[in-house]
Amino acid sequence: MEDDQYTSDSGSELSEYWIDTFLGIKGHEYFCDIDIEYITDKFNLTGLNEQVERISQVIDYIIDETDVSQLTDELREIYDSNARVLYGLVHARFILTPRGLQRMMEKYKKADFGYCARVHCQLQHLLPVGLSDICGVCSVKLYCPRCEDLYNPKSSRHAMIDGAFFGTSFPAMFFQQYPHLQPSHPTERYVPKMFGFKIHEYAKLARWQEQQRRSLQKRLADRGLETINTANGYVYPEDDDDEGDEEMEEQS
Amino acid sequence: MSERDNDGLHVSRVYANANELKGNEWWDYEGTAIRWESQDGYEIVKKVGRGKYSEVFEGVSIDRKETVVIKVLKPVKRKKIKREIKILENLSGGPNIIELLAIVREPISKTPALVFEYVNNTDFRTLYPKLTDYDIRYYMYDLLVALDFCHSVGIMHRDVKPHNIMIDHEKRKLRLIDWGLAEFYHPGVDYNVRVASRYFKGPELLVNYKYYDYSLDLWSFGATLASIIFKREPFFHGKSNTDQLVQIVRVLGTDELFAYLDKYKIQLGPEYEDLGQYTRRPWSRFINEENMELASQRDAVDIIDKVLRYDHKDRLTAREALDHSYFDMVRNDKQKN
Repeated sequence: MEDDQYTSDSGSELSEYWIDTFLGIKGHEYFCDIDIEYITDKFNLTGLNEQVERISQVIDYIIDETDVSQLTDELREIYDSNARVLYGLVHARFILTPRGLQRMMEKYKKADFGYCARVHCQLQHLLPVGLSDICGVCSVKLYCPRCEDLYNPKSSRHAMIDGAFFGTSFPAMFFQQYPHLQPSHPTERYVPKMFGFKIHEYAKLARWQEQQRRSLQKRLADRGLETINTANGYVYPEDDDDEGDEEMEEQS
Repeated sequence: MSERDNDGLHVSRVYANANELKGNEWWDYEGTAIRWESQDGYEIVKKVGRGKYSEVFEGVSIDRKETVVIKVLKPVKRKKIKREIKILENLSGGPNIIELLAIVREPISKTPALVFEYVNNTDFRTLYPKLTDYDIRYYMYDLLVALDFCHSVGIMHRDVKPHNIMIDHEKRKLRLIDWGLAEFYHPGVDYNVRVASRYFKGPELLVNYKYYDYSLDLWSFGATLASIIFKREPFFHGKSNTDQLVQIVRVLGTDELFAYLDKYKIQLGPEYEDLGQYTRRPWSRFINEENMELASQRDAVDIIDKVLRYDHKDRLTAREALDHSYFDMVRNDKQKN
């Protein structure tokens, strides 16, 4: 009957690789695929034995070298949870390597880490970051390179992932590796309004800040430092009004 | 709608043809186009008040670097907005009239807003009890100057009350504000009686007499002055529009009301069936220990007596009130300056 459709599927579950299963878990979209060679190279695991017990067996488990049919359910659960922690900690190290950065760059471009919620960031893609390199301190946060601020993940599944699995150095390292991906900062800012009128206190502050920024830019430009429309500098929107005025003058 | 009256019974005693003399251009507010300015030059500082028809803010003019008042109009008929703007423009530069600085509009929702000169007003509940006898005469004179000016150019305010009289006591400056209910006076035209605020509504409004005129403002002026002099705020404290007339009758008397109704052939509505019988109370009855200093002044009571009359034609006009002996000292002082 209808049940038959499912019995045949359950058999294939065993044939799936542990890493693929791990990456396929809902909420694990932030993790990239770590090369087997990287995980099995003991050099890369230095110090992790303090945080994960029986690390060799756990590695074997991750790379599917363990005969799971020999394990009791209880033991299998322990292995599985240790494997998740180890994978995460190795992940934090791997994504700082050129190959790891490459993997994360592809995920960044696909916006696997989501978009910045700030309107003026115009759906800027985010990067994951930890606030601590130690397990169990803080869950993963998201960094927006445009407004340079941190955000909590939208989904509770992501909010439960340990920040140490990405580490505190990742976004900065990412832009060291790919400086051309560094976005420039938008200059538009939000000033509260009522019935179309700006609120004076906010507008006054915004004008002062704008003036400060322009004078800083000028100082930097005088010293040969370009800050306009450069990575990590400011992006200026096309100023339609100014162009319109110029055209008017030419016509008259 | 327009009903001419040959014997002039239903026509204002003064300035009846002011608008006719000025011509269409002056009073045809529906036909005039509004020159909207950009609102970018004005910013809100804080909310200072709100009314039935607007939200009012203290603001700044960025270009002129001065404090202004921004009145954001709630959605009302375009006609009403045009009337207020036309009246403010006509009265611009007039004595003690609030000055309109700009007319702006939110470009998307088209919410209109009026920008006015700022007056550093003290709330009347705080200010009035502190005023000296002379101060009262001084400001009431200023108020009458504003009223005589607008009446002389064919405009009745129709919402005179303390809330609409802004006083900067430090600068001794008075401004008559809120021209949202103001209207052009045309003789023989019937007007909506649902104007003014309850405590300041003249008897003509309460008995549904539609051919009222500028003299309505003099009643409201009188009710305001009486509240200050007798330290009784408001002077006629009605709990409803119907009760408002009752409060007036309790002071001015029933017989006098019926004489008024007879004269203008006004039928009293069914809501006044059990009006009661009251004899006119002399003004001296309102004098008490608290208001003694102000209310024992004979000229003060005399001017109140001459404006708080049922018969709107019996009331002093603004011009006549200005010439009253109550203002003798003020008039002399003002002429010196």
